[in-house]
Amino acid sequence: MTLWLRDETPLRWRDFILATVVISIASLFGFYVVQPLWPSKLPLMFFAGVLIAGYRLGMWPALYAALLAFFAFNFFFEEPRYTLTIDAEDVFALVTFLIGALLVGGLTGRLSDHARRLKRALADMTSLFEASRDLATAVDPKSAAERVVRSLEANGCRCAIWLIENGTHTLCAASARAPVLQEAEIAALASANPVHDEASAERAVLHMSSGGRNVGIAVVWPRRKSALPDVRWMRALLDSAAVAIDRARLIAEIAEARVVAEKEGLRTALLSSLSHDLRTPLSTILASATSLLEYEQKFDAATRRDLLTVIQDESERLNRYLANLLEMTRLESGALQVSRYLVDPREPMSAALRRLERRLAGRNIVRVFPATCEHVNVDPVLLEQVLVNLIENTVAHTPPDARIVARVETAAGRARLAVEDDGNGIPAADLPHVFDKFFRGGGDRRRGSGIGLGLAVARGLVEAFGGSIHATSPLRDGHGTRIEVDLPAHAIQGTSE
Amino acid sequence: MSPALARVMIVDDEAPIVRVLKPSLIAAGYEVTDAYTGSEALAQAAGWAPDAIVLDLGLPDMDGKEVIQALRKWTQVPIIVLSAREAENERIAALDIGADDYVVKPFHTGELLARVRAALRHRQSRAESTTYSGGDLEIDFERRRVSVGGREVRLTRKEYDLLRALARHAGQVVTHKQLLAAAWGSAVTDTQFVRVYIGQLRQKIERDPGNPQLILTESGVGYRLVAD
Repeated sequence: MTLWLRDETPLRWRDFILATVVISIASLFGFYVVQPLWPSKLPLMFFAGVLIAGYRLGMWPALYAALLAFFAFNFFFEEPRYTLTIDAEDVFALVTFLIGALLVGGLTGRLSDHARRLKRALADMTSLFEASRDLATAVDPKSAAERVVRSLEANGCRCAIWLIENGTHTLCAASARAPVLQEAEIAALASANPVHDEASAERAVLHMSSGGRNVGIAVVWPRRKSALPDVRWMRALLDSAAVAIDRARLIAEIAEARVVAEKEGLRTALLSSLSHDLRTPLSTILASATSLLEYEQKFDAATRRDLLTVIQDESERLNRYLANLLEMTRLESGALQVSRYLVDPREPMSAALRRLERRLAGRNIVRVFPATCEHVNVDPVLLEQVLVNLIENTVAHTPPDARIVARVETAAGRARLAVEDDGNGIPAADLPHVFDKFFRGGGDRRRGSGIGLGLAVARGLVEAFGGSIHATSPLRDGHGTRIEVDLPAHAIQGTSE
Repeated sequence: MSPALARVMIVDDEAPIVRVLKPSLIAAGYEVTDAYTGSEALAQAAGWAPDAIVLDLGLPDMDGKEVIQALRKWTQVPIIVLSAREAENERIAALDIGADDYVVKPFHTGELLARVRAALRHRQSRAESTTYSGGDLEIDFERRRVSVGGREVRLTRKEYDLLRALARHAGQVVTHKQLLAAAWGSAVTDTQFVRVYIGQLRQKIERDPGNPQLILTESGVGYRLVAD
């Protein structure tokens, strides 16, 4: 990056008046103090004045001060006094004085001008650096544009930025009281060919581009009574803004592509999930039925009965999948009809266990129910579905000898319905996703664990009842899982009859 | 000669399907065992020595194709794959690495049993048979003669090679790739050749080439010649 100095500040009348004041003071002081005491030191007195003017006011005021000092010295202190005529013998002394004063003023002034410019350049660099650091954190084009506007405002301007979106310039960020530009005017600025920046005292129009691509247009106005910042400084700021905007746009595009890919992935997962989980029970049913047709005579009664049982079980399983699929569709389309009653939460839990009786055969089930219960305001059919899903999920993910606890608790206006097991627990990485749609634990390779909808449906329904659902794992010694439904509960007045 | 019962192993992690297939295969006259994982299947294949294996491609511990590859390193036991219809590529891959046949889920038990029968027969007849007959088609491999309904049919060399490859696996599916290799060697990879030559072959041996009864199409996978 090139270091540059801002254009020199224009000469100001104020500085010349100040220079006059300085030399006037020097003259007065010289007249009344120095002359009576040390008349030979008078030139030094004026040199000091020029030096001060140079140090404070820069080169041109200092040179002016030197000339002024020359005339003042000549007028007030050189014979003949109060005239500008010069005696022949004084010419040498006066010329020496003039040269000395000019050198002192010029050199000091230049040095101080230089120092001032360096200081300003440093300030420019710093503000540019801060602006680009600010820009680096912008995550989208709009916020990048806003940051540029903020930086320009900090440098005494108003600014508006139009970014090219889908081929047209759109106003993305503007200072509070930036003049309003008509669309036509922006279009005219944008279509200027060749693209060129314009800068005047009233405003600067700057094109922003990154990697040869046009990104947008910035228009900058000075705030009242202040000048525009240096055009090159603004250019540098807008260049880094253009890069930041371009980058933010790319990030947005990548994120969008990722969302599309994820959706696509989800659809694929849904299809393979559906095809596997709906076909598996169907295959068994069809095989069983065709076996019975083919070998009815060869099978003994027990085998026939077993095959019929398989058909029954698998049909029920298929039905549960379809019920969940339907609930999920209803939940998502908002078509779910909830008819709520005050229900003893032990009832739906018992009903769920009963509904899964066949599936739970041979499993170690423990019921932990309280003697009395507060009631929950739910649709009992749907709450039963939730609990069926929780229990079925537990059965699918635990070994056959695992202990499964169905627990109901109510206290202080909350009802908790939980299904616990002492199985292997849920890997920490999977825990946040267990309620996600189509999520199936165990890297998708565990089979027979259903469609990945059970817990997602459970969460949707519980939330529709104003409750919440949580998974905790492990429970103790790195083992066990608890899935718990938390619902608002209401104390029921004991009926005295 | 009263041969011992043929032994069939079912490999599927879905307990209900095993529960159904087991009695059906027993009723059909086979001795049956089951395995729920790939590693269990490999161990049983070595220890129990089945004559045919019915294999589900989706197993909990490994891909069914890995099981086929591991088996094919040391045995030519017939393998019949169970797979879903849309998993066409999976199915072709399984056949190309050495599976003998497949049955699409959901399936009729009778269909699976027919495949098992074909596989077992093929295993017995592979070595000795010098002739094939199915429907009104007859092939004499030694004299390279093909006749339909007693009338001799003249085939080009490619047509004969294709027909022989199908007849050697009568009743079983033969993939496009396998047919290509049989008639052209591995140099040709465009399966369109196979389609064209099968069309010609049908013109010569089928009664109604538009409605083939001998060479059946297995869409997307290959062809199957009926077994007698």
